[in-house]
Amino acid sequence: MISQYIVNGLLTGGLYACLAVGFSLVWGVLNVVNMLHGSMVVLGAYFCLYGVQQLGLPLYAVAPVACLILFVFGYAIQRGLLNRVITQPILITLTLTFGLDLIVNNLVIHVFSATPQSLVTNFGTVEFAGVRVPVVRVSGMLVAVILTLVLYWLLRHSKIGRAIIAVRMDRHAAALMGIRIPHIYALTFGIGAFMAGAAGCAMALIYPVTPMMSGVFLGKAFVICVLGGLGSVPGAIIGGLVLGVVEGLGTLTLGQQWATSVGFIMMMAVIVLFPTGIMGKKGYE
Amino acid sequence: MRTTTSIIAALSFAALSAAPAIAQETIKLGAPLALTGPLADAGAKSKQGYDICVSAVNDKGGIDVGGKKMKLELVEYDYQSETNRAVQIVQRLINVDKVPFLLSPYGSGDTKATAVVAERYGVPMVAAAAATKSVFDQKFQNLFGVLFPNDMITEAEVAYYKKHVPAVKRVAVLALNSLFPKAIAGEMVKSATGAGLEVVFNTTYSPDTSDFSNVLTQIKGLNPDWIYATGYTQDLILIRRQMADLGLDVKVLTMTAGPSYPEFKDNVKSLAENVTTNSWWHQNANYSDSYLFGSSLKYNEAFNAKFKRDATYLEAAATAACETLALAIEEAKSTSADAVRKVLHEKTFNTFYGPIHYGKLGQNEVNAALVMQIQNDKLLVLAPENLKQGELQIGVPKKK
Amino acid sequence: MIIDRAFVLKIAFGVLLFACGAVLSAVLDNYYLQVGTTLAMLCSLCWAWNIVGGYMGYPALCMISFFGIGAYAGGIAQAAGLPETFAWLVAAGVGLLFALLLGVPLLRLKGHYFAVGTIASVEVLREVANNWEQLTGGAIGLNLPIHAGSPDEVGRFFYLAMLGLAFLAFLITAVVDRTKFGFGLRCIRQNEQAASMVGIDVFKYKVGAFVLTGVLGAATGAIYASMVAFIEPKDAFNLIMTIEIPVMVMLGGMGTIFGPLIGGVSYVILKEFVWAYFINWHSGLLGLIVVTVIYFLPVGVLGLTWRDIFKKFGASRSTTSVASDIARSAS
Repeated sequence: MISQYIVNGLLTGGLYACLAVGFSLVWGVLNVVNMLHGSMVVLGAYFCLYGVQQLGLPLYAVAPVACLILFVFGYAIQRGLLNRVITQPILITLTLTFGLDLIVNNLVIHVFSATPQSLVTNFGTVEFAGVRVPVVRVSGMLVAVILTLVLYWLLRHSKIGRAIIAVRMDRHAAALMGIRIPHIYALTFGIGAFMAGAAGCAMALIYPVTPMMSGVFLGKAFVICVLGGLGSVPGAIIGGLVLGVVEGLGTLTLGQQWATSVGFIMMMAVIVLFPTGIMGKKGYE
Repeated sequence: MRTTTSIIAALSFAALSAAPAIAQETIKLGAPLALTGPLADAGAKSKQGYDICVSAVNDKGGIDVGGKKMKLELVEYDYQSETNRAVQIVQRLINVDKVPFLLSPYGSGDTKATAVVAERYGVPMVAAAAATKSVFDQKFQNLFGVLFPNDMITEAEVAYYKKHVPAVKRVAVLALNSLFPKAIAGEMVKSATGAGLEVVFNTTYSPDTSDFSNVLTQIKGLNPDWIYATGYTQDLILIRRQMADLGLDVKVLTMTAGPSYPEFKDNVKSLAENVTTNSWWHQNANYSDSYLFGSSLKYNEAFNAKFKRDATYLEAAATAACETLALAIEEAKSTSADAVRKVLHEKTFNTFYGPIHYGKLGQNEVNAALVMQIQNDKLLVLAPENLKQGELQIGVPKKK
Repeated sequence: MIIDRAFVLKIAFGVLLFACGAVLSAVLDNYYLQVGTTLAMLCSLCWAWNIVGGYMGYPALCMISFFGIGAYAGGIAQAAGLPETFAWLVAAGVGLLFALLLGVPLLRLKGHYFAVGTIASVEVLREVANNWEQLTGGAIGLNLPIHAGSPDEVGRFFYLAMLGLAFLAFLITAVVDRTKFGFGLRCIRQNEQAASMVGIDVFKYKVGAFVLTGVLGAATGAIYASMVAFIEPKDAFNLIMTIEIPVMVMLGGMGTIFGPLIGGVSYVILKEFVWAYFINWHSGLLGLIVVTVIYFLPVGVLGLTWRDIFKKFGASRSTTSVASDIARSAS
């Protein structure tokens, strides 16, 4: 039976990874704690819901569009608002994104209403080695992980990706190398929003979507970032998987009521003991 | 410079303008509503319940207060699902808007906190959404609850399933760690143990739980006959889906209170089949009401016409809360708090919601517990006998 | 302690303000007393945060942890039979211990990690309160003995209690502002390493500031709990408030004596106004206010000079091309 728990944890963990990678990137590269992240995930989910339910389009057509819309949204916010306060201390940027989050949340409640909505699918389950796995969760997790790996590859091998890493390593040196900092910042935030949207679409397949989910997702993103190390894509994957499995084991040992706080307690322990996360400084790219 | 600035700045205390009350002959009902925040969905529904009552009363010309007709007016504010906000709003309603009567906020915790204020000022407050006994445990004289206590519901359920599915022996209870869901689950454990059933699993889950696969795997390993799950609608939707994912089979699956709401079916589609639930009210109970609407079915028609969907116990209780106040005022022939309070404690109100008797403790004592099940996309009443619309279908579908 | 004319004036003004507040309690009606009590509560939380966040510059987002711990400590003490004011003192003591417990590991961290650690503490504490039923009543909540008396008497009592606590917070802030301690905190904010080189025992100062914040926060929570007579975890550990408090102080001016007062009052007025007239959009509008405050007023009302106000719109351009500045300054 323990294998079922571990598989459950890994499935959730894969989703968590996609959820957190955008947040981690923005935090690591821009030094901004993006309180808006949870709302962006929820927006992605609602766009997918709208596209599939109201417009009748297939999911694989709607999801990329939703992600692109969020990319543009993120880019615009960074270029327009956040770039101006980017060097301010964390409290300022955090509070700014928190204020933006309040606005977006209010809009979401008004436009989409607070009643839970879902994308209902019928893909069934798969069973192997005594472990049952729902197909839709596996696909959600696979898509999430693949996207994350693609992002990782892009960061390492494309010009833009190397530029982002360069800015993360040393802002001033990167500027000296001719990198357009405001554009890179906006691009990074846009990518973060894109990944959030992708996570949102995956979530819409699995969870009933309500505007209040944004807080829950943000909390998970926090924990995963701390666990995996800021700005590190492999860190986000590892952190996500670890969180998924630990929550599962927490359920087993301490009972379900502690399952979510286990994550936060672990986060506090990691913050105090290894602030750079499990991956340490090596998880740079 | 800085000193002068600080002194001048600190001196500019702007006056907090309180919205002046409309000077007309209306009876004001103060209603703190959760229009934003986690309770926004429920708050909106409560508002609909209140609105339909106020418009029905006013369409009749208003309440007859000893010969004089006075219309009802709802004075509402959004407390953002935050308890301290709700308390502030109740203070404002009492002191500034000078409402003679209050309707409680949604949810047991908020009701309790605001009841302290209502009690202090002696303003009668009717709660449409608090069923847990602990809400009424401070012996307040001004708090009245439309929903009868949770244990009446669980006793009715246990009795019904024991009779109709004698093979049910093992019960697993999964409850959300929040006041009402936890309380009703606690009553369930008591009722089940009292009836000789074995409670093999009894756990709470925290409000932010996004994944139930692990706790459901645990339950699966224990092979229960009956799963009793409580929580908010989105939690129950997720639980139902993940049960199907894991192939968790049971004879009886009871969920409180999600299945009562249409969005549960909308979100789980065919998985909703055979899910049982309970309720404090259903339109098919067809109580008759000589004051407003005529009957439960007619109330539901009126609700449907206005809001394009069926009323659930939530909206109906809100309407009933407002209606019992109106009836009490008419009987007392006055809007004085003392007179109305006395009537509220003593009278049995026969409404479309069923008979309501607040009694000495304030919580409705009339047991009208309903056991229900979703069959073929419809919510049917299974018990009590005289309202029965169908027979229990055992087992829940495995595949989606 | 530096006592100069400006300081004496400020203290005198503060005393006068609070004295007026106390006298007003005899004439104000209950609603305004309630508003005043909430205002005093928020101001004392702001003053408390100002010590760690304003003077010392550490982004502590755990104000609500202290508030909640104080509320529960006071509540549990009262439910166990202790008299009210004694329970408040117990709560303050618990706040002190908790601040030590939380502060010692977290204060070694900087910036982001410190902020995140403090946020995490709020989440963890709320879950602990939710799950540790034997102590806190869990999700069902905790009943406190209700303060006896007519609504007027009770309203006045708590108004004066909160006002008194706010006054205490004000005095502490004033003293901190003018003593070596405050000076040390300011040094730490500007440059921690340099501060330690100058001879300031940085760690002790940090913990000291954190403890002050904790004690005041916890006491505020305890009085709140007695006032409301019923607390539950989601009410005592409200995440939004933990960010609103720094915003209020930012609005008024961080690291000043009157900043928290101005910020608290202005924010409450804004909030009341928005909430009364924009019932459906108030949380969004509040977000807009927060964004505007950050964007246009990062140094707060007290940080402005008259020239700034007129220059502000021109200044936006110069302070805002920061990202391109980095490129420029590096080349």
